[in-house]
Amino acid sequence: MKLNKKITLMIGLLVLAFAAVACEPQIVEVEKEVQVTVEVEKIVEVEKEVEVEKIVEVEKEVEVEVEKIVEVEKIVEVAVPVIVDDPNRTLDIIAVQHAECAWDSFWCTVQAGIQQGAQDNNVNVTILAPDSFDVDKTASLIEQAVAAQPDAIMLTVTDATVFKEPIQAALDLGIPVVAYNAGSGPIEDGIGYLTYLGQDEYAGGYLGGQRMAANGGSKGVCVNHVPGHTGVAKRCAGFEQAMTEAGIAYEELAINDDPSESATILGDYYAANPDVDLWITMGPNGAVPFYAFMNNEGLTKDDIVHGTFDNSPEITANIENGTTMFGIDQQPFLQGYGGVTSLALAARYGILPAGPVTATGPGFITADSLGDPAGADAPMKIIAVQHAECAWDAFWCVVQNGATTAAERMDIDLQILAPDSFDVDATASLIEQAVAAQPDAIMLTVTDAVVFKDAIESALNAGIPVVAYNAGAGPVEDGIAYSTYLGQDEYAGGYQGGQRLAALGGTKGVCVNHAPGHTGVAKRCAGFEQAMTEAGLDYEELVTNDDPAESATIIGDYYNANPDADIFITMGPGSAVPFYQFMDNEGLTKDDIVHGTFDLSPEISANIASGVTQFGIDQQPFLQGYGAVQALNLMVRHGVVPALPVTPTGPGFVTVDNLTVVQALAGEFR
Amino acid sequence: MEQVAEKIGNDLFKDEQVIVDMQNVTKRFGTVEALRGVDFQVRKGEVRALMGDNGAGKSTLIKVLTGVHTPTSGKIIFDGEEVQINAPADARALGIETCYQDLALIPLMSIWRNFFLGRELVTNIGPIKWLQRQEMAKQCQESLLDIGIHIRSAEEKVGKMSGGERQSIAIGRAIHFGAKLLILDEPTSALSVKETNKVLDYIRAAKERGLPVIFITHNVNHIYQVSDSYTIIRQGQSVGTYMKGELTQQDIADLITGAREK
Amino acid sequence: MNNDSLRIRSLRLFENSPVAGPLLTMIAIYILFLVITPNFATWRTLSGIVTAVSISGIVTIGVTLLMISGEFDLSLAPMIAMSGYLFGSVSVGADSLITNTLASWGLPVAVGQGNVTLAILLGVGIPTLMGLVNGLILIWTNVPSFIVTLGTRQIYRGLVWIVAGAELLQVLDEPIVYEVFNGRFDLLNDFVKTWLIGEDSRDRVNFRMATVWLFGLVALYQILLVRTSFGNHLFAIGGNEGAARAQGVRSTRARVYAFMISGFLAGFAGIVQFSQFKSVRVAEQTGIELTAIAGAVVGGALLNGGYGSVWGALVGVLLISVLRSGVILMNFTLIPADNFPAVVGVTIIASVIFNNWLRNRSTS
Repeated sequence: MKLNKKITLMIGLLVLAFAAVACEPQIVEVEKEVQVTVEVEKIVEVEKEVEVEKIVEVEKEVEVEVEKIVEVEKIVEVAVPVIVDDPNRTLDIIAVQHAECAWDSFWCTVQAGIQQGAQDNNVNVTILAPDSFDVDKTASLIEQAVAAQPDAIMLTVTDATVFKEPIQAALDLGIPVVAYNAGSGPIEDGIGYLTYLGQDEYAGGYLGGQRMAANGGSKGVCVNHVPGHTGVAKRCAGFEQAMTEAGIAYEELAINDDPSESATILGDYYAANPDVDLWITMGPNGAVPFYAFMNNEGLTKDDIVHGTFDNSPEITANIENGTTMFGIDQQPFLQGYGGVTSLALAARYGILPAGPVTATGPGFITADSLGDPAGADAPMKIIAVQHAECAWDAFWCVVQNGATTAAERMDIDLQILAPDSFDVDATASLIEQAVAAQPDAIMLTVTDAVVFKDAIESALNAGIPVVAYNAGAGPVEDGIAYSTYLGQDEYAGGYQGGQRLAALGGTKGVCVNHAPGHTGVAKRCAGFEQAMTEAGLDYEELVTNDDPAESATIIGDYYNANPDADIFITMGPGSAVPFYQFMDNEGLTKDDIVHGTFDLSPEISANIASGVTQFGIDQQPFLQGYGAVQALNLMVRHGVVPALPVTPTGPGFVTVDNLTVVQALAGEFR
Repeated sequence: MEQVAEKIGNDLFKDEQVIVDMQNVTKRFGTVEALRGVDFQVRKGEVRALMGDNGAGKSTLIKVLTGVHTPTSGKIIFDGEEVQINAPADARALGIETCYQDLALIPLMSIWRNFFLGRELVTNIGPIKWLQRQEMAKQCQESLLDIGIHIRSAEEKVGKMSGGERQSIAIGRAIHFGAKLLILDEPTSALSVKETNKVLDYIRAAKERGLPVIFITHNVNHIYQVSDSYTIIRQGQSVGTYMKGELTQQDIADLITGAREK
Repeated sequence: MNNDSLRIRSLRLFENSPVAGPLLTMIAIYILFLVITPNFATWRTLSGIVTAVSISGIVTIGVTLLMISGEFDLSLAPMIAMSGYLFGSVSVGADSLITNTLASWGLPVAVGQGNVTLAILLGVGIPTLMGLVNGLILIWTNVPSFIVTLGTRQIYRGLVWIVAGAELLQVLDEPIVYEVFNGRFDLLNDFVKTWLIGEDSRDRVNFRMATVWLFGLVALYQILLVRTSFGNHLFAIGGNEGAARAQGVRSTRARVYAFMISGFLAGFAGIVQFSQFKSVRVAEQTGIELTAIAGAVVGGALLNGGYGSVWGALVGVLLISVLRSGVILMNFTLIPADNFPAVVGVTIIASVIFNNWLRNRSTS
């Protein structure tokens, strides 16, 4: 009898142990969270001795410094993929992920995005996943994928240390790799894959804050149910930034895992701070006690503004009845879809993702966007209105080629409208024509936000989604609520260029600016300055002018006065031309100074080839056309919205490694 | 002296008034022979002291009797019947109450809860065993008073009481529940003279109610005050059992230390 | 006896009742806040303080019983989550793995057709079984309960993960049973509103049914603890297990019962929580075990067993709740809103020191 009992117990224990093993992912995640929490708590403890009011500032400084160190130390050479011979060939891509649809509906959405991306880009995708969460098994699946030598690989980087070797093996073979859903980007992961597609947490908090502050407010509160979690801390930091910019007071409120207790904490906090009118919660676990709090206090949508991350049935119901302004979605569909697309573009045209992290979220779910999307097979018509066209300029042929290629692949009827010559008013009336034609979506170049505003808003009011490409400043700066602007991220170009140059070593960085007062160029210099500062180097901006001879002298005089200046970045051919003259005048070679530049020209290409210039920064016009069509396709057919007000298509770096590819594709794809 | 010992032994052996009779008990722990054939008898109504140096085997002997250890060989006759004592619960079931120094009482619980622990007076309401709290407090106080123990209130925590008072409660408990044999493990160690005298009084009270007592002690004076006889254990063997007054204090000391053979 | 001074008699009160010290502290702090804190003297605050402890309070009852017997249970959070999923799915017949699996076993529940009785039975029954497993592992292996439940905590979380299908469960239905377990207690709210503060006052009253259940359970288990032989044995096991066994107390059985009660109460807490928030996730209530231990200790229980009371534990969690509300309402500039837990932490330590001081004074 006793023996029987013990055997039963043993069997029971075995079953439980098996269950525990099967549930490893949950456990691992929890452990990670705990570790993070502990570290942060330590920092906070140390800082408490500092004067309390300064704590926030001190913390920020610490964070920034830490980031600097990490980024400077971990500059990663992003591998340049080998381009396939025939752009029209069906590509083979293997996706390796740590979980799959059978486990969790979240992954069904990711995989649906992958399948749709494959269909829209003429790609065959094979998805590999282990039977249960298992880092080592996933790593061996990556090895299998590499051994199969596909055209590209996409994967979830759940463990950068374990995966580093197999991913590097793929990169060494010239197979392009992107990460999706799990990862931290090539820099933080220390692996030279192209980009990581996931939510931009800071942008989520920031953009959410901007929406909430649009109608004013007196105090915003970030309700944090997982204090110490770095991702959530970024959300709060973004929200705080939006509040500060709007001149609204800000505070962070910590709640916990007990919803009853948390509802009371919210109530007490509100009683002590009745001026709080903007509230953002970090997900369903923060929203649950928040709605209880509203109920307790008898608050309605007229008293306060509420926004939240993530979605749940309760949040959806509250968005519908107007209590909650929005839910922020990380858009798993786009993680899968975007992974396939960026690999297809990289493998076919050598077009690389613009940043180390490609934001798939925040995607804002509002009362307006809760309707069902049209579906993958719905017929779709897009009208593109641009201020110039292929007949005028080879640049525009590349843009248009991008748009028509995407339209063909995605089975979209695309019509391109352009005036006979550059004419803002004529372009505006073309936009009006486009709206009158009632297409499913409109894409356009915003050369004049003031003149185009009425026409674009009439499209938006008619429920037609609009994106801008090539020209524009994004919905926020243009003051027009279109979805996103696809163009170069000038700041990121200067910043990433600066990082590449600083990695080669130096003392002082100089931004040679031939167009002082131009805001786009000013952003390039600001990004470059940030990279110099983070690398601990000196920085100065040198203003030249339109006269190349005079400018060459200016640079020469400056160099003689500042012989320690050894890193130069120029803003395009306009300052690169006098710069090469200056080098010639002073008898300088590539061993004396390092140089990088924006844009490309035959002279710049030659200098890249000879090693004098490290890179030319390309804004990738093909991607502007292609990306605009794709963004509209995703919005109309799949209900997936662009994550950021500006979707960067550049910087795309042209270096000695991919120069020949770019030159071969020039005029068609580059 | 051998003759005396034999005489008493034989008398006891034939006496139907014997409560416990341990015959030729041995206990080995591996190669160590803790008890080497001990004979030990206690008569009903007598107070027997058990003496010996540290490690002489007196604790082992007691633990065999209370079921903590099972003997390697030998037999135990309790109240006229041969018994197997394999666990403390067996000893308890026979009516052998033991007060170890550490394991007697629970300091954070009140006197009456300690007094009735494991033998609570309850009213069964379905599966719930409802404590008869007032009845137990009353019986506890009365029962202690009966043997001369005054307590302020049965609700007091045992932890607040002195060492002597705690021993008294354990003794009172044994008497109340009608034990047939009470064993006290060094009841007077670490007590003041006044406290010690009280405990000795309680031992007398137990004897007056006909309860035989075995108590382990180092102190020869205590033997003279309360015990009727005493057994000396040395090196795992019984040196002998003597009536009160039979030996001088010096004789006893010499027998304990082995300065003199029996 | 009659000569005892008032001082001695009041000290004896502390000695014999673990609840007296924390109760005194709580009343003192409550009065202090009433005087110095704006907005504290409202029904909104009072009902908030009481409602805040509705989940942790119920769990603390079981934790206190265990602590008195010298044991810990660190696996309560997954039990709460398990109960939430089972009760939530079955009560309304949510389209979930649980409902579908139970229906395929022939149990009287289907998607869209909830079964309240079955929901409650599963909600408290399965966690009770989980408690039973904890207890059995403990007595068969003799590994300390701290370690056993540290292990089962992970195992149970894994089980919840499977049962939950790794998904958040949220329902929008409002069956009457939710009102019974944790609806608004409008009988009391309206009474207070009508008779005590006036209809036109801006003050709000938010008592909920969970508080009725909490106070009821506290009373029930306090009685179980001090009026039954089972409670007596818990104290004895925690106070001195050897002595308890020497007196014939069946310590293993009492322990297993205590773990089952602890599981039952965690399950009950899961039902109460789901009834208000209609939402549960796998990692629900992570860390509530330590909150409960803190409550029990502040309420006068000894960490190493043998001493404590259910009343005291209730006062303990309420004391922490009073402090939290008070500190937030004080709106100190020096204590930003995201840092009040630190104040609560300091006070937990301080109040335990105070409890010990009182106990030592009264027993020497």
